[in-house]
Amino acid sequence: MGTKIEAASTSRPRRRLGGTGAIKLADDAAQACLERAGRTAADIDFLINAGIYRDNNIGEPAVASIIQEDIGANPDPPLEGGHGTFSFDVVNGAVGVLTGIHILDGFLTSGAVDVGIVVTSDADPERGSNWDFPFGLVGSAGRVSRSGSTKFPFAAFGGAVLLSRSEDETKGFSRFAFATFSEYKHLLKAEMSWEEGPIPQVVADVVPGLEPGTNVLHIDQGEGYAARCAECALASVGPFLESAGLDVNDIDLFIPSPTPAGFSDAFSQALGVPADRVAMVDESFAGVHTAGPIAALESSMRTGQFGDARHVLFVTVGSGITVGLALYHP
Amino acid sequence: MARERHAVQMDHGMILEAGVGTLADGSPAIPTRIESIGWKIPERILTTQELMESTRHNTHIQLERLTGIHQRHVCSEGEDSYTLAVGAARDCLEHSRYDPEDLEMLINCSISRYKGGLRHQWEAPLSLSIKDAIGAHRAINFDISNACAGMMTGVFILHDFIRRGVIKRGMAVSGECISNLGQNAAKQVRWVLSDQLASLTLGDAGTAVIVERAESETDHIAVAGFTTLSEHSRLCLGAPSKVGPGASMFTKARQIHQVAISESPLLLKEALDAAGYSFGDIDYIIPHQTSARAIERGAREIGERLGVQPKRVVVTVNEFGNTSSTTHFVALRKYLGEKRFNRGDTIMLISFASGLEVGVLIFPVEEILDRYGNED
Repeated sequence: MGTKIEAASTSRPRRRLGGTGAIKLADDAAQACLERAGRTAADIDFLINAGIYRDNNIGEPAVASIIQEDIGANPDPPLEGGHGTFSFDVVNGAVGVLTGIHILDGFLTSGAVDVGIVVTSDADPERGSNWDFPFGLVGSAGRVSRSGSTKFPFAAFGGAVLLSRSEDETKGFSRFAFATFSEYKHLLKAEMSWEEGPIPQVVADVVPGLEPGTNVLHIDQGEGYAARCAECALASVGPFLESAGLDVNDIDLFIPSPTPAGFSDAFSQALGVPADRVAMVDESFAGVHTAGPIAALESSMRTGQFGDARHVLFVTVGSGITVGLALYHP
Repeated sequence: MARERHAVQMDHGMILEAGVGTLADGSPAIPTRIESIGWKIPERILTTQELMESTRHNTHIQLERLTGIHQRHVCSEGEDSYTLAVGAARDCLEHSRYDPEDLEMLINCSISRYKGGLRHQWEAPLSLSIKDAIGAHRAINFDISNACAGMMTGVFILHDFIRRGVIKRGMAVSGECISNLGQNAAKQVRWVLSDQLASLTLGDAGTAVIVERAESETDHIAVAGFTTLSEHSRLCLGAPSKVGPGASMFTKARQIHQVAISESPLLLKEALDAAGYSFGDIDYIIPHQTSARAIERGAREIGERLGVQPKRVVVTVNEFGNTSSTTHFVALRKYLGEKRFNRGDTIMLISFASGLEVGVLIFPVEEILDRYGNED
């Protein structure tokens, strides 16, 4: 009894003043995914959010709980029968979606839940927010918890993938593996810290005595990150396939992370895999971050590559460097 | 009438995994247990009197009388979320039969992820730094974030992986460096109804727990479970502060308490039923530690709803403050160290956290007592 992918969907910022916040992107992706699967939000037992860069960089509550409420996934106890929903965030860079799938696969396999969704999104925390966030929240949060960011390098995208149990044991996810290469930890860093600087007079007038400065998000991606990601992925794929009793030639479709730029090409060329066995995204997805694996999955579903494949290998890479691998049988 | 309707509503409210039972394919689940617990408490103490004397405004708030919190431990120079987590992980390993290389999974569960001072690390995951520091090189690592329910969520995930036989053991760890929220609140709180009042109750602490495959028929987790009442997701917000380094938190504490007390009894009963226990069977209730008065009042109200008062309700908030995701394991580690449990006592951890998360973990203490020098 495996875990099957029912649907995948991505979302993009809507054209509006101030852009679209990360939570709204996740809401949109989740709702599109549910519609594609022919399900309602009430079907969801388990919701994991894997996005990193969120509205106002909030740390509490889990963004997943806000998404759960927004999309109406049993936000309050059902009136008759039915079930509740459990939601929380996973934070594991651009591998977070696969980590979320790994966790959700477990609760599906155990029989604790029947349907779950992994949602993700990233947006420049300074660019904009969901219209009802944070102003629908408590008290003065909207006035004082905004924080800055410098040179946000990622494009705003959301993604969602809906999973359920397959009655066919030969279908669905069969194997996961994760490896870290911390000698390359410095190649992608994202930190938020206080930087001294003048505070706007309008703020100083209202709240006298504030410390001059603001919290600023810094994201630093070093040279050679994509090439090192490809090396780490290559080092991980061989042992993984061997443990599954498979060879590179047995894999009908590779779904590599579309970013960092250059990773997918470097990985597939070094592995000697022809382009028609690699899921690609179009250039409009340039800069996608945690939603990258879902974008590549959605693309391969649209072209029919995914449905036609017997063995599919997800190859995701992220900061750490972390490599996440998963074998799937459509 | 309302109560009957509620019973129907909450019929399947919790996502539960019992200690014994079967998986979806009909194969038996492997029992799991808490093998060891560790903590790292900063040495520096900040009393409530000292904190309230530091407020910018003359607040007239009797915080110690309102909450029962006399003091909290706070980080000094060189201490942060990372050092607290690493210290707790090492203490946990010192009381464990395992070496770091034996760990197959390491989950960092803290809200605050400060490393190198008040530098919040979004990438790479802090779990990787912790894994490297303690030498758990074989462990799959990732971070989760689930407000004050983080550690219990981590244990729930480990329980699931172990009971399916995917791994044999793993660690959940959290270092919460959150006293800076109190310092930021002290600049702004004006009166007792301030939405930053709860920030003044916070303290710093690190905790870690190893969950392993159980060999005993009795010494295993009876049930673990969670649900998210997300209708109330917007009652508490924590985010980087604009008034000073670190973060600020805004809470509708009274509403959260009311929701938790009104919604939770039947959810807790679901978990108790799945474990084959009644509320009266539980020897120690360890709720999330927010304020002594709220804990005592909440336990009494839940007891009234469930028809039996709890035997013992653990309160440590007076000494440590609210240490967020670590509170349950601070209490457990303190009681283990002070040899306050008897062999076979049944413990029930109850989580109420922003989201609104309701979580339960029920387990006995048997062999773990030996590792803390407890004698029968």
